[in-house]
Amino acid sequence: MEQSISNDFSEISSVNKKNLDQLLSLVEELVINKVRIEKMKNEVSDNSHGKILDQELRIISEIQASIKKVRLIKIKTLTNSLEDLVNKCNTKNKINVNFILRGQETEIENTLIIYIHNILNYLIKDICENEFIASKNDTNHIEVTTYSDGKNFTTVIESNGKGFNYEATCDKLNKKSLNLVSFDEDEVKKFLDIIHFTNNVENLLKLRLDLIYLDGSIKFESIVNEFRRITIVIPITSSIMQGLLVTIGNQIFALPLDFIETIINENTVKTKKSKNIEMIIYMDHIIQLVRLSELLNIETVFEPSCIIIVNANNKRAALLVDSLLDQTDMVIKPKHSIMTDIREIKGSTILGDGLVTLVLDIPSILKEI
Amino acid sequence: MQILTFLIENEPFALDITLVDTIQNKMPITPVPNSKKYVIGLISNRGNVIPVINTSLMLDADTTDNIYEKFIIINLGNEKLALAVNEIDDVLEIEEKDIENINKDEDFSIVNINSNVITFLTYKQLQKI
Repeated sequence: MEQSISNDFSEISSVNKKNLDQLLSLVEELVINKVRIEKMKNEVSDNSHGKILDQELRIISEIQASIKKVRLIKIKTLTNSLEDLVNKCNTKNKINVNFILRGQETEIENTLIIYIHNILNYLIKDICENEFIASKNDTNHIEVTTYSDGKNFTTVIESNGKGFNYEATCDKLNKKSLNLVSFDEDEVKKFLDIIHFTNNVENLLKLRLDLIYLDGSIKFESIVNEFRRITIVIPITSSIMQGLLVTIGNQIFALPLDFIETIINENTVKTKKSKNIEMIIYMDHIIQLVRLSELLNIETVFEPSCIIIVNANNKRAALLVDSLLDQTDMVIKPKHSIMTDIREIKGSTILGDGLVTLVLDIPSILKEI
Repeated sequence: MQILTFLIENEPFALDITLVDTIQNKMPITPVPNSKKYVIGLISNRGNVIPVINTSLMLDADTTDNIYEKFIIINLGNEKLALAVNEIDDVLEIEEKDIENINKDEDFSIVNINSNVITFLTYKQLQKI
């Protein structure tokens, strides 16, 4: 027993978070340069140079892989803060809530843990303040279970109390299951209203938007007078995504590949106009045509030649761009606070040539048209 | 305290040197569609994407299509901003009492150095961006 304790200690060394962050941003810089080195490698004809560059690239990949593990933090770190919150709710509302956090050894990424903490914070608060006060049970419990299978990180928040009628709610909303990600905004509001979960509409809407991007889910389940269960699945994606580079006017933009259904030549389809809305007919579907140059207020130099059909949230649109350039790996950097009100743009990425390229926010563009 | 002085369209400006992260030479800027007027675009610096601010527009100064030569990258809280300037002038040592706040409402400050009046950009003013 003693032996194992001392072993545990020797495996852990403490690092200043600031130093770690610095290291991480340096690695990110290295990854961005990797694209540049790859480009150089293709241009170099000399074999010996190519060999060295190959080695460099391999080392960068290895650093990238091992730094990912450094970022992981155990869910255990949230225990104190969440227990505190429940205790505060208990004294404030004179209720008795037992809180259990399972899966404390689950490891997730540094940035995700703050995110999860926020979600749990407002959900627990809401359950305590709405559900438990109303139900007036002697004993209430909230059980949070977290687990990760390497691809998805799942959080299950289960509580007793009144709950709601699952089938009836599904019927009312005309849905097979209650997954907020598959709802549109009004449906989410309506649903949260039905189950009296109205304190956190904004937060849940924001979470839903994030999860549309990441392809996750927020599911509600319940049996009346037994339990209410919220399951949040967040896919663990690397921040590296595949993007399609297009030109609009004389500027380059990137579109996340995940949202792209097909790409067609502008000449092969007929456009139709009705009430100033342009449409195309593609494989028996009528799809609204969006001229990205108009949406982004960019002057076009050439006649647009490509139509990209995108799909998010079961909504389609045909985006008209000047030309296609390339497909590339990209690290999406979040928007600076100065740009938060520009809805068409998700973030930016630095390409091999060192230039900043803007990444378009497809779900948000689809929502606006 | 030490201040960094610089020129925007021949007008002298200054800011607290502890805010300054790096100074970078001119590089290609990526314009941001539908952005605020004083945002010229984005540049990359050491793996970060940083918005470039047209400092003269922000200060309601007259502006023409001026040619920027340098970017002063500053730290504001957790984020970084790049101020586009024409020329870096000097680093000066001043006393904190030399900074005069002449318009409290708009938080507009100046420094008087050898009877040269320099507009001093305060942290508060920069944060408003």
